[in-house]
Amino acid sequence: MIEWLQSLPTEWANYISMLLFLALAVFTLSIPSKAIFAGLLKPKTWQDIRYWALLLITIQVAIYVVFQRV
Amino acid sequence: MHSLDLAVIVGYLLLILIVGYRSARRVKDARDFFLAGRSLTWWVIGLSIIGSNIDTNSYVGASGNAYNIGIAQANFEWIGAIPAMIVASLIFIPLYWRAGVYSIPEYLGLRYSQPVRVIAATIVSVFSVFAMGVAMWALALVLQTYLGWPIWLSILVSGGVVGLYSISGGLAAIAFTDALQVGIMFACGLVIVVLGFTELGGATNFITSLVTTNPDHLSAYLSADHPESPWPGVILGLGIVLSPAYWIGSQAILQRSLGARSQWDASAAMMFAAFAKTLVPLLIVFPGLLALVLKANIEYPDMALPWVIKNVLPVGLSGLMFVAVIAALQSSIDSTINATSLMITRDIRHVLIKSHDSTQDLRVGRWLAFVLLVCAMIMANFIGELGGIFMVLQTGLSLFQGPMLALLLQGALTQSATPAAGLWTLVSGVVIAGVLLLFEMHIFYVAFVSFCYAMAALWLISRFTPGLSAEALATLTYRPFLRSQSFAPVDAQSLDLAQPASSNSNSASMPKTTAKGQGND
Repeated sequence: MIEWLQSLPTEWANYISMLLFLALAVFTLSIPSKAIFAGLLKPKTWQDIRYWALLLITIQVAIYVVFQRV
Repeated sequence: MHSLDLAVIVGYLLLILIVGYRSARRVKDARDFFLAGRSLTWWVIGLSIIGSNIDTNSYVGASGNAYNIGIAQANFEWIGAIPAMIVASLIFIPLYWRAGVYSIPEYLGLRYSQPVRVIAATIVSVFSVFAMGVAMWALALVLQTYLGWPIWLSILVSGGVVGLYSISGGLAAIAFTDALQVGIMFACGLVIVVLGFTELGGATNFITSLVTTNPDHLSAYLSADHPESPWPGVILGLGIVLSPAYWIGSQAILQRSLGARSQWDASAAMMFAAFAKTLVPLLIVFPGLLALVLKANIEYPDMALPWVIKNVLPVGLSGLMFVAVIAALQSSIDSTINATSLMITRDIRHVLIKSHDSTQDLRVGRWLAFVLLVCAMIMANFIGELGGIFMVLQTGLSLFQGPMLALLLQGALTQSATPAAGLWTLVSGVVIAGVLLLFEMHIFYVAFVSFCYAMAALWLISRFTPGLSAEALATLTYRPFLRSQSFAPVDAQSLDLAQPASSNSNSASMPKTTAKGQGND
């Protein structure tokens, strides 16, 4: 697997990173809200850290789009 | 050094001593000392996590690396941190917090067995003492460079200041001083960015100058045959193994999350830290690139940051930036002291000496913190003579991070991992990583291969050995998709040694273990 990856062009590293982040976004969305709000009596929308995670992932994908090998 | 810079430094030292003194007055028992009485809020923890994470290597070494390889150095803060931090925030931190444990080895002890707990705590503690020595030496070097103090005096003063607030105030003092230190770091980092761009006539000029002479310096990844940062190694070794092992298994990092006032605060803190982490390259990568664009006349790449501080920042701000570098080093040392003291006090002493008197934990913990600090200060005097010990330290870390990650992943995410499999996998995984290192494999690949081995071994051995009861696993594994999964927090005191699980009124929601040798202590 390592050798196969080494044979790919460097730009693929950016694509793989973006794919990893997108997979993480799908996982984040699949987590039920009860797991996020555990222990909170009156949870507010901003306290849903799944949204925080999605914002983070968006920023990361943007970073790997911008800093590609030219 | 200008008198204004000196005033800034003295003011900073006084400020953290005051914060430490105020926190010390609230420390009444071991829970206050090691977990800040479980009172910390998310933003304090988040900033403190970043403070502990940015160490000598990050601040001085990463600027030097960025000078050499460009923005690819930032992968340590992006793909090499953010995914693991998100997973830690959503899965592992809630699990640890609900289990009511003080440490990650304690969780491993509950999930696997007490020998696993002791081995994990011992390995991490030994490496932590070395790491503290290296950090203390680096701190002394910074003081020597800027103030001209001899190394021994620099070690004595820096160790004295760190010791005063971390030994007296415990985790609360560490968390609040870390938060303050990170605030200073970011303020200084932003000033460097603004002044750097201003000097070059804007961001566009900066980028043009950089890519004209160094076309790869704005590429996130370097070629697969790059000697320092091959991209498959960065993704497989750093992104998939080393980074998750650090963010879901580092006691020094996660201890403040375990001291959160609620499960949500614990999770949100790590997510907040991830936002801050995204911006960390501005602090530690940009100075290296700036030194390159400004054609700094430096002998070694590691001199990039000191050059920027001296040549870009005005009087007063250079003192503040100097404070930020001291702060970065101090915040790593204080966290490691407290975390190591905790692991020796509880994870090793409680199990090996069978000392179950938690009222002594505070006294023992403080004495241990003092002894560890003195050991680090003594060791720091000799680090310079040992040459490449920092690389030895990083190599040593790659020995056990793969197996530890496998234990945490399968322990938290599956029901099948068994105590015997955990013990054998941890021991054999470390041995295999050692053999791979003997064959001079890159540490990124050593981490990845030993992790793959440990995942397979843990799964395979677990097929033939007895596991924990379903009742025990209910609290120790992550199963959010089950309707019956309880997310009610466990009273931390219920797992404390002074109050045996069976006698506590909350025992219904506590982890109950049935396998031989199980239990909190």
